[in-house]
This record gives sequence, C-alpha cells and structure tokens, in this order.
Amino acid sequence: MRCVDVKERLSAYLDRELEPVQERPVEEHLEQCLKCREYLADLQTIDGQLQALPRVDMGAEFAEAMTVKVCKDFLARDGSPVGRTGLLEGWRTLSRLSLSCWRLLVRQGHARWMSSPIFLPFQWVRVLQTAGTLQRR
Amino acid sequence: MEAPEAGDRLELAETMTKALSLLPDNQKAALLLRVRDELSYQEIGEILGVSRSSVESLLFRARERLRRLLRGQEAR
Repeated sequence: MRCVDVKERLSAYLDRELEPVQERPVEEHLEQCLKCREYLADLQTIDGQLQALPRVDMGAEFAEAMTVKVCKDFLARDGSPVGRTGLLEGWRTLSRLSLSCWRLLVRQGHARWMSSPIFLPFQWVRVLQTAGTLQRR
Repeated sequence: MEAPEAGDRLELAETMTKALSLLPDNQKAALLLRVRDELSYQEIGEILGVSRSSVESLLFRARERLRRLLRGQEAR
C-alpha cells in the first residue's frame, strides 16, 4: 500500500472501524513506515487533546447550529413535517426529527436536563419552532 | 513524558478550541461525537443523517485539517 492510501485509512484504523481485511495491510505498512507511524501518533495526540477539553468549550452556539442543521437535513429529505401524505406520515416525520435533535443535544452534553421525560414537551416545542422557522425561509 | 503544567494545558485547550472552530460543522460534529462521546460510525451516521462511509470521510478530513492547523501548516 502507498502512504497516501494508508493515511486515508488511519483515522478509521484508530477508531477500530476497519474490517479485518482492510486492517491487515495497514498494520503491515505501519510496521515498515516511520512516517505513517508518526502520522498515526499525531492523530492519537489530537484525540487526547480533544478528550481533555472541558465540555463547556463546545459552546451552546454550536449545539444550536447542529440542531438547525439536523432539522434542515430532515426537511430536505422528508419534506414538510405536516406532510402532503397526511397526518400519520407527518407525525412519523416529526417523531424522527425530534428524536434526532434530542439525541444530538443530549449527546453533546448541552441539554442533560432535557433528557428527563418530564422535559420532553420542551424538546418538541424547540423542534417545532426550528422546523417552522426553516420552512418559512 | 511529563504531564503539561496547568498554564500549558490551558494554552493547549485554547489552541485546540480555536482550531476546532475553523472546521465545518459536520466535520466538527462527527469528530466530537466520535472522540468525546465514543459513538460508532453507524451511530454518528444516524444522528447526522449520512452514510457510514461519509462519516469515515468526515472524520478523516476533520483530523487531517486539525493536524495541519495545529502544526502550523495551514493559515488560520
């Protein structure tokens, strides 16, 4: 394998996301290539630095931007949440949209208080507001 | 290797945060979901609404860009 091909796979190699058949040639190359081993070490350092960042550094602004992005993607894929195909389809789309936004916010650690079922209505309102704003644009 | 001093850690965090802010949102999201939340490529794909191979590509480009930025090989 050439270095350029190995480098493209080192990110997935680091994440243990390569199939065994893809992983073996990468390991063989690493054994005999110092430059690629250094590249891998750089990636490991970057991951370590990212893990060491305090949660607050990610910023609520970023979480907001990602909520808008996820909502936009759903609207682009599935059309209006109220849908042309009737209430049931609209309801299904909204459920998926809400779940996705909710998971993203909770995973990002910005909305842990919202993960309680008590606060689920707040999430629905937030998602509906975002979807409505995007549709009007 | 010695652990960095508090001042160095702060500087490292600041440099990393600045570099992260230069990444496109989808690359940044994929990277944080992977490295900090330890999600699989499949799970990240479900959240971002993209395929597994797109997640792989997003993560490769994000890490490569960060590496260049942190090594000063790319103008900030």
